[in-house]
Amino acid sequence: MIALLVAGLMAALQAAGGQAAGGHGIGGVVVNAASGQPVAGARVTLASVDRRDQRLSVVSGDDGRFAFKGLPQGKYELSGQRRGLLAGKWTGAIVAGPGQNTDGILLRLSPPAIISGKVVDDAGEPVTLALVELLASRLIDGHRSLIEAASKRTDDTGGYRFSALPAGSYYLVVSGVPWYAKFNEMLGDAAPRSMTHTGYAIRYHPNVSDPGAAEPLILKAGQEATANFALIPVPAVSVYVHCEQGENLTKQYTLTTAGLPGNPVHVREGSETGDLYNLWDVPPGHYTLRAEATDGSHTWYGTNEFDVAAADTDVSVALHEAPSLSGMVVLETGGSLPAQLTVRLYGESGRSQALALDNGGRFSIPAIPPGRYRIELRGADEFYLKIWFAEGGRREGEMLNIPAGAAVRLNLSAAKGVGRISGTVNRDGQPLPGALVVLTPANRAMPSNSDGSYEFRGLAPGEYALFAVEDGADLEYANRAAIRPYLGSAKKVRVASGSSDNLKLDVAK
Amino acid sequence: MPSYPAVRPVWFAVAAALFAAPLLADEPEFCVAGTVLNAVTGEPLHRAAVTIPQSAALTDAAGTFRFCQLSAGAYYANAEKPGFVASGSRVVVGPSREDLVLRLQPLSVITGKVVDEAGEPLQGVLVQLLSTLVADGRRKVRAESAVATDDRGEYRLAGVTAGRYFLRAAGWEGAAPDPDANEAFAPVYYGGATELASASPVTAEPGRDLQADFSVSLRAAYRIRGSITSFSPLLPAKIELLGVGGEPSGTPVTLDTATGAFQIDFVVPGSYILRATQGKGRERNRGELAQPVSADVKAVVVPLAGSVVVRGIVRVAASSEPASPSSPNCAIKLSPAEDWISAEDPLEASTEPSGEFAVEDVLPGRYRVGMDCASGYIAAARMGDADLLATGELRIAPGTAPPPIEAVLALDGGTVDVTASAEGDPGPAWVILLPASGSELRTRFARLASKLILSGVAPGDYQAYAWTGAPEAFEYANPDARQAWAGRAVSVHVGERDRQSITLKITAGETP
Repeated sequence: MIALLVAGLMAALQAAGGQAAGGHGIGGVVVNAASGQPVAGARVTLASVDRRDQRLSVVSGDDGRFAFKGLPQGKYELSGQRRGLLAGKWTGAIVAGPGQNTDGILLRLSPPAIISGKVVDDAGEPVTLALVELLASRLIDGHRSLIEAASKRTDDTGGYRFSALPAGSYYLVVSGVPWYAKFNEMLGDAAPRSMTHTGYAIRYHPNVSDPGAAEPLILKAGQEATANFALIPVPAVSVYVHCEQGENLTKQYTLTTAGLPGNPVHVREGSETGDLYNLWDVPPGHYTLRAEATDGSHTWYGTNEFDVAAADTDVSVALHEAPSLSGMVVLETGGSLPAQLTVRLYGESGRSQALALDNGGRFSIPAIPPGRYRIELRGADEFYLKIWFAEGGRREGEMLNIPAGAAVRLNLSAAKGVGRISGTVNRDGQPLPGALVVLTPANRAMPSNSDGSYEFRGLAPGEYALFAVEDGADLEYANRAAIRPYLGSAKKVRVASGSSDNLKLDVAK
Repeated sequence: MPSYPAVRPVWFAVAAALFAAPLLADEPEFCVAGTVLNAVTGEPLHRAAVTIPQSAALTDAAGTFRFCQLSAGAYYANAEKPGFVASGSRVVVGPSREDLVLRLQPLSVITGKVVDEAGEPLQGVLVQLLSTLVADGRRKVRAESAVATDDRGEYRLAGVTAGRYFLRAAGWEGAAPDPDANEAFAPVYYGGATELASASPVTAEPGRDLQADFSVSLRAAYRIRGSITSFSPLLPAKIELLGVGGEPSGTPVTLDTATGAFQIDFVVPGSYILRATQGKGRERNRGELAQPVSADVKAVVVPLAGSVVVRGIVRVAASSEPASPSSPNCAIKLSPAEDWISAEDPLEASTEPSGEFAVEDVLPGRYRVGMDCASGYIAAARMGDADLLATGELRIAPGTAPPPIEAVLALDGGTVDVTASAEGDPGPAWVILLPASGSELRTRFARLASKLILSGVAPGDYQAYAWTGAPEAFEYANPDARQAWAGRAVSVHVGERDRQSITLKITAGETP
């Protein structure tokens, strides 16, 4: 099927001149990534890299083929989707122009992986409304981390199902409360403790209680896996939370326990205006309690870590007024900052907070949880954080420590990198598309384009190393240990202000 | 209290049983024991929770439970378990009861699959479970719950109480699977009907699972973009796209709570009502707009307006005798006129001694009017140009104070003596007089014991009906329902100040 040109592209085509009669073509076949079979009826979308709002769409034919014709010379992104398959992108950009061979593109769409299973109790009875959390191991900005991909409550059969999953490595965490534990609140000690003072121990795949023994489910595209769990009732106690501050303020409580790295498990949540809050049926373990309260203009935070054993436990939590944070970003050379630039604070808990800038580069947030944060500038690759200092907070290496009750003022100086490195990736003397090109220590990476080309712009002056990996989708490129094997054969390049280097790379073996 | 040891030895109870006579009348020594069963299969239920006052226990694998050390007396034993209707029984102990059987009715499960015309499963389709009830003689629909289909196109509605339902597939959860495609399907009832009136109900029975599959046709869908005016930033607000009967369209809506700009996706061509609501209680504002859709709608503006007070007066007709009361005593009720039940409660007011009344907090929209007067009948009722006696309905336009309702109360009505003819005790029964003129303001509805006197009945011809069971069993505003009940109607003509007697046979309320 042939796409019709949208008006914008037509105009661009005429501006380019010359090739109006033919233009350039991009075409190929949509295939199922698992079976290799052609995929009919997929919606294939082509967008100009420079002007992403200009998009063309076609539907693949019965043989999976698609074609875009009459395109102006340029770089394009190709993506596709079809019901029943995961949306997919061609890795890198497609370069259309004279001498470019762009009519044999293979666009792979993966069938979704699925994880399903049942949660039962020790008697084999289904556990309804158990919380099943799915954690996925994902690469984010070159760092591998475990993030919550989805969560589901079990149905009346104890069943759950996660669909539309990309291939990858997953962990499962299951928590819940026996349905009959509600009689605790109604009857207290009148009912047998085995019935009312009961909780479920948290379970991890493969149905274990120790997070250290948790194992990933490694799924290929289209693979269906089953993970069943048995939640075992364990004696549980009440945790009485005392908070004698903030009368008439509603305190939000969150009780968590250490789970998998970076992913504490939420055990209970609740809110209370009075000075005593009862968390029912907490199984023995080590917990962190967080409290938060706000009156609209001020916010308070409190935290307490404690162990729960076999007896009801009293814990107290003291509220501290939240620190505030404000500051300003200035461009080293003067001039205005790009509108999309934000300041991002990465907390040690894994949470991050984005702060938008006003026209003058100022930012402020009235309340931020106390703790240690890493500061970055995001939103515009060529701008980087050059110098920063803080008043009211402590600088600890690259981290900013924000103490309770402080009013922190942060001064950031941004610089615009003007260095440029470009080139092509080759394998056996031929340009190689889709290879991962890594630039370190900038922690930047990009896939090579259809003609093997790559380009990094906006680089700060300095020494860099550059290498290419043929199948680099899973490379943790921001982790020194992960890239060490490639550094020996990496090309060293010194970027000066305004320099432009052209480097041919051979993929690392 | 005699000085027994704090922990009473077991032998004491044994000894008491041996002597067959308690030493002290109030000594707690009795037991209640029994079994919890699945009422349909008769199987014992494991881990059912049985409660009696101040105690609870879980049944064992054989479904049995036991409470001891009870004083003589009456207890209520209740059993519950997820997936079953909780149920209990009164039990008297003294002596012990060992044979109590508590039977729990299992709840139903409705499952099914939604596919497109090519038989491919559709993910994210919302399937609604609907029940119906009758209010003001009209069938009204209530959405009980809704679930979305999974990647296999399958849905599962669990915990369904036995009864009659309709199922409707309408809209997508969150967003359609392919946001670029902008395809959607027109809402469809189980069985393929597009209107509730022609839809087939399903009956959920205890412990029986039902399967209800849908096939829908995807077609081009459109997007509505617009904004709410007179919008208060950051105050909770919602925008709804409803069918003309008030039925939710199920289309995903995004509303910017800072600006009042909204977008509604996946709208199939048709006639709709756009409704915006902001605020709570008396501070609420509402805007409503008829919106036909046959292409993308770009810049629709929904103006919000506050609630209004509907004022009016009921005057006593001049021709009445001097001795009659000059002050009307009427209750005025405005209820939303849509077929689908919203969260809105009916609005009510009573007349002052002067005859004036004021219904407060009326949001823009369509309402049915009810006027119930103690001593007479409504001879005329108008609101501006609208004859409420003819239509029974009024429309409140946004942003303007509505004209007052002006009604005339006549006291020259007749009296109808109603006698029930039933064998034995039929239980509570209901009687209705339906005017042949169709004017619902003159409909008379009352509870019927063995005899009933209805006075102040407007002169004219009526059909009278009586039934037992639920007062709302008769969908009298529906001609089909009246036709179905025609055999039990009794005709009566009421003249000015005359007195008629009728005898009504009371029959069960279900439509034959």
